[in-house]
Amino acid sequence: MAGSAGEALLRIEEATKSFSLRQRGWRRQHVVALDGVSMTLRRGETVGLVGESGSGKSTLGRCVLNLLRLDGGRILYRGREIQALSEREWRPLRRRLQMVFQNPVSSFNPMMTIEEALLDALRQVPELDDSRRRQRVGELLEQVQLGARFAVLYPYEMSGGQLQRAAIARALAPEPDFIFLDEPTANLDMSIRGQIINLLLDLQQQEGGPGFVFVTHDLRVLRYVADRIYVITQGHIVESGSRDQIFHAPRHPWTRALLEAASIGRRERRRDAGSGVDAGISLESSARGGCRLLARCPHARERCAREPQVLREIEPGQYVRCWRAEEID
Amino acid sequence: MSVSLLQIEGLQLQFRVDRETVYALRGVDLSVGAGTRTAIVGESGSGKTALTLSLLRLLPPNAQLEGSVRFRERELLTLDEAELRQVRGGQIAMIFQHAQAALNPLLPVGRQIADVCRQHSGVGRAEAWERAVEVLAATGIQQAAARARDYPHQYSGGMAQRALIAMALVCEPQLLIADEPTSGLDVAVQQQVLALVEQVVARLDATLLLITHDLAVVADSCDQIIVMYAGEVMETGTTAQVLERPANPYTAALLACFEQTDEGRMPFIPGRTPDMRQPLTGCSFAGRCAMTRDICHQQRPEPLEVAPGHFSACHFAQEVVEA
Amino acid sequence: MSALAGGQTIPERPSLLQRMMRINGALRVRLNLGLLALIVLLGLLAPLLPLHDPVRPNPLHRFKPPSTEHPFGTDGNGMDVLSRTIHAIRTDFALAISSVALGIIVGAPLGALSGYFGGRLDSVITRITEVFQGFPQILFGMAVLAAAGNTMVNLVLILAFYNVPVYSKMVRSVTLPLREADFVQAARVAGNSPLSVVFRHVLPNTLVPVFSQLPLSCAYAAQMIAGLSFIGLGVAIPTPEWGSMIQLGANQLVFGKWWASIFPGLALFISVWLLNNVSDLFGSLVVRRG
Repeated sequence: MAGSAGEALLRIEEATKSFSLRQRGWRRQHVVALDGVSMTLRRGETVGLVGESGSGKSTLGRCVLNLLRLDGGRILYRGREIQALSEREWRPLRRRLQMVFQNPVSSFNPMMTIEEALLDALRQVPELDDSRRRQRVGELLEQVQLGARFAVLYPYEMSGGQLQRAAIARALAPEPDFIFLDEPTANLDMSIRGQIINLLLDLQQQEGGPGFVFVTHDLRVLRYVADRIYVITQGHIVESGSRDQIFHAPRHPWTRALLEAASIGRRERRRDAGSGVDAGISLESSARGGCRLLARCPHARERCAREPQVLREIEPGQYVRCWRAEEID
Repeated sequence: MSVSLLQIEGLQLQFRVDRETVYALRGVDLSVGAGTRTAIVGESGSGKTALTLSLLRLLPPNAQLEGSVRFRERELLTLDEAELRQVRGGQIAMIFQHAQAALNPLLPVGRQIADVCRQHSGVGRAEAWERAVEVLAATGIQQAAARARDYPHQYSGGMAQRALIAMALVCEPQLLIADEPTSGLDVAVQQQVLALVEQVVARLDATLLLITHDLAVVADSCDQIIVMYAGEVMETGTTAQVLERPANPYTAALLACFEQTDEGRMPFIPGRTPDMRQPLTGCSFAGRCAMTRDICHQQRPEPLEVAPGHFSACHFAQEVVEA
Repeated sequence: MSALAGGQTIPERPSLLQRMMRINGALRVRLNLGLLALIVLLGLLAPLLPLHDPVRPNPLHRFKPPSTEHPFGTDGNGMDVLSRTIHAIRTDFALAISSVALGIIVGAPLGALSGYFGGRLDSVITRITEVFQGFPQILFGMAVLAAAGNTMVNLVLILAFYNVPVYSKMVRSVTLPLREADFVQAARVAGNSPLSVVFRHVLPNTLVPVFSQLPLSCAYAAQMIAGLSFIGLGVAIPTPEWGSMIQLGANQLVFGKWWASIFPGLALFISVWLLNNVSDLFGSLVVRRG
């Protein structure tokens, strides 16, 4: 694992973002996507960000890439605030920060061949001339194990797995410092997710390669690639730690639930069909004052309803947002 | 296995697209026992959804369906529209993948359930509404009387799925088909929805047919598994048989992808699914299988019984199960 | 199928012609397109064909019925109707196509800019195009041609003027959902400036509906040209043009001298009909693909 230097490449501090939904009844409804999320990415490191859909994890990526703007908080790239930059100020940064989208098919312009798409991304590398760029397309396709012959294909002529590798090639094109992977395997069958994961493992081996933020709702894939993992739900980070801490010593009930759901084989049947936030308790009422996961937590005590939970360090490098973290087992 | 509720034989489904033929189902034989909870597991292009749509004949006009589907000894493929409508929603109910999209956005949820109830049992408007509120409450929706008046967009994903389950419940079907009922729901809600489906099935004494791509979901929700690949049935058996002693290389390879290790690389199945526009001569998995031999390309494997009730369509099923 | 290393296969690349034929999969499209192509070809080759001079009057042969010498007869100026009907293809199609093309060249980028950027730019462009569309077309055409001069360039400009809002609205409506599309976001991440996103990524993807609308616009433009020429504006007499030909023969229809009007009328009708068919079929193909 690279990145021992420990220099923070990207730092997100107290990120807050909410969206207003359509009107419900008389009042507007706000959905809190991010609520005081802080995280750090070091050079060459792969950080996993896991949470269910709508937990705000994709929003974070779009904010980092200047596709959206935070309501509050800071995003520091090499110590410099990168929000609210003008188009001109942002341009030199753009090639340093890249992204791979969830749906490989829709993330390619259907009117462009793979070569054209890669050349499009290579235009922001001014030091290359035209013939070098073409050569680079071939190299990039080799690097993602596709081969140069895919250059002439249109997106609809390729499978999802192949396209997602092409998308990674496109993100690698401008030699970025870091790539935000937004559910890169979610639209792929389980039987071919390994192609993407193993490709990332290969890329991690390369000297001076980019760091990754890997966003997913499926913990399974992180087990192979992540150095550190943040577990996020309802806009909050509930647990963070090294991969081994999260997989072998998860402390937060929510992390445990995620792990359990992802494992094959008979689990403990302690789920109750009738209970849960979803059955009617609104998010706001459980958020007011107490732990946000109160209604879904099998370990909830009366104290959970009174006290908002804070993120605290429970092991070196492992943070948990639950006061009962030590006693639950 | 108990008495067969649903018996499918030689089911072939083709779509004509432009001048090409897409082979969605290439001769499916299977039977679902009454009172079982059976999972159909398959990845994209396996034909699992095509199969369920074929059962209810919810197919576009360019589809050609051949073979036999018998539900309680009654052939479904030759029923006329009116008879078919009685079966749909009456004896066979279905829960769809995207619950929110399966509800009519312009009608209150309760009204939609009541409508189904009236069609099905011919009760009056008021009684149907009461029944709708009752089943909504039974699926764990709180303040059901008030929520019944809400429109689908006011429901969260999980609640919409509950409403669909309520709709299925009101029909009192003998067979409940659930097509990826948990996709797009968050983990905690997934568990609740699955548990609810199981509860409903148990309460109605119905048979469950769960369509999914996720082996983790299957493991504790179902007792029978049917594995599909490229429009064919690869393996059938009890959950324990299929998950613990897979007899088909595809099942084994797929299971490996779900297993987690700490070190090393993530397993995957190389290559891609066969071209659905071509008829197949040999085994559909031959192009990606690690143990392919000549015969695999030449001859389509027939299902072999490797253990009582455990079938695998592989020339070397015995070898696989012993491995 | 050609095999690749690692057991992967990529589909054989169909040629451009094959791809076009596949898009036009339905036999009816090809039939309609074929006939249309035949008409255009006839027009293009008109000067090479053994026809009478379309603009040479012959006072001795006025309103001669169809004969072997003049298969479509002659008109009120003694000009050969067959030759004029065929030469008119050049005039009518050239005018129709150039006016529609001009409309698209101006309208489509306006629509894409307005849809992509939204805000004040969008309001301004939308209001202007609405004002354009507010004028009654034929009256406006008459007024402008009368005031600015009855030239073909003016005719093209007037017709283009009406196509601009049609295409800007269409492209705008297709652009709105594209604005949030993944590949547009990906294009931003790949370093495209906003204008480059619009012109390299958004605009090309709006062209499918534009092209299915195109034949319909041409048909409409051809009708407008003929209509304006019929009332004496637009294309002036010696130049072969269907509308003016119909007009020239129209007052003799009641005396049984039908050929001077009927043949150009038929030519106009068939062309418009074929263009409409092609447009419909394009449309249904687009719907099926979407």
